[in-house]
Amino acid sequence: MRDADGHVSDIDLMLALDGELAADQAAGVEQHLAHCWPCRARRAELDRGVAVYMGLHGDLAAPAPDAGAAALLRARIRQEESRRRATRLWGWHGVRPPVLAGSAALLVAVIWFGAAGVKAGPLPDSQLTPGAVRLISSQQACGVAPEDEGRLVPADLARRVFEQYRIRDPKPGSYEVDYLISPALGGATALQNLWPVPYAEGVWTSRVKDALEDHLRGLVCAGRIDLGEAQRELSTNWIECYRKHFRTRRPLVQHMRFVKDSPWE
Amino acid sequence: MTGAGRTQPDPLGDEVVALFQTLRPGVLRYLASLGTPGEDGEDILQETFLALYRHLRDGKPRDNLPGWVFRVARNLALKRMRGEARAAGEALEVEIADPAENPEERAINRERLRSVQAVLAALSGVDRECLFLRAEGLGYREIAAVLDISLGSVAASIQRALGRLARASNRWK
Repeated sequence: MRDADGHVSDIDLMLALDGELAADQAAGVEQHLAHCWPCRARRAELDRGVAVYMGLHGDLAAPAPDAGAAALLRARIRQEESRRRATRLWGWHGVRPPVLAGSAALLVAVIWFGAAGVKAGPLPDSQLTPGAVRLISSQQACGVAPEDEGRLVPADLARRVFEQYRIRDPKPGSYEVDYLISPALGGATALQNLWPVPYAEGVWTSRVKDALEDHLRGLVCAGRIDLGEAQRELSTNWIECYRKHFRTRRPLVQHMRFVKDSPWE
Repeated sequence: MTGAGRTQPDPLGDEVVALFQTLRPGVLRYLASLGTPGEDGEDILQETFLALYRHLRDGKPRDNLPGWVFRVARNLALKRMRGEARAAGEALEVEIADPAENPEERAINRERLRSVQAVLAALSGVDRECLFLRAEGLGYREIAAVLDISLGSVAASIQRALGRLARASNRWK
């Protein structure tokens, strides 16, 4: 497009500069520029604008590479897929088997999946419960006292958590449906962030985990670690996280007595 | 952890995670410029790429993926800020991050810098976002898709904004 004087328009100069013109149009612009100093001066001016802008833009802080962020995304993708797979398997009983060869593969998958079972324990199954967060900032996490955060898991959701872990008729008072990432640290009340923790098994109880969560929240609010790091540590392996922060192999006695949550009834 | 050993090959997951690593710095800077820095930006980034995974898994179009990512991240950021602004009872104001925070800036001629920044601040939001996205390496077609405007508008925004920046800088040569 030429302007009233037959020169290349500013827009076309811009498009040519950014390589956005088709080859024949770009060639036409180049040909005109070869003969036209005013047009070249205008193009140089636009290029100068690029340099000025990049002087500012280039100074914006480059976020540090974060392997944890990619790992978290990977875990969430896996969770998404395993949930879809589980939904398909559960829904299969009422469906007419489509093709024999295909259904045989599915059947093997059902048997394998069923035989592998899913054990409830102090650490959740990383595929069923990779952790899920709400979008909150550190300020928001620190603005609310932990006891003000709704920690009650709705009964229907708790039932689905037990279903997911293949636990039938859980005895009242024997489990707590616990958050992997606690609500006070941005954990979501979602299937991916909940698992049944047996009270009777071992020393790594949800009480010990509560003590760790209070400790992590203190660190976040004191600005010593960021919220994402606290969430990642909890969701990766909270027991290792506890050992690291309290420098001990076993839970401290006062933490084993730490009582905060009521059991799932 | 009973499920740890049950990983299966997932080429689509690999692709999405690879794209995440490539685009993460640029999208985080963009989110910061829109007003959602730090952890907020990281959260939005996670949601965006999980949405990308679902998008591709469901066989939806895979052309212009960087544009798709920037657009979804932008929508999530704006949605979130609208929610926060409502909660705080304040008007939504989108400001570009203040580059004067960087100590390296002090070496530059302050008056010139101030003048250029004033021009940048006076640009329309669309002009400023076009510049930002172009500087992050997006093509015009991708920028048009992110901001939901025409190709012609992108070219006009960038040309207008660069012209003003150059003139502001020239005054202090």
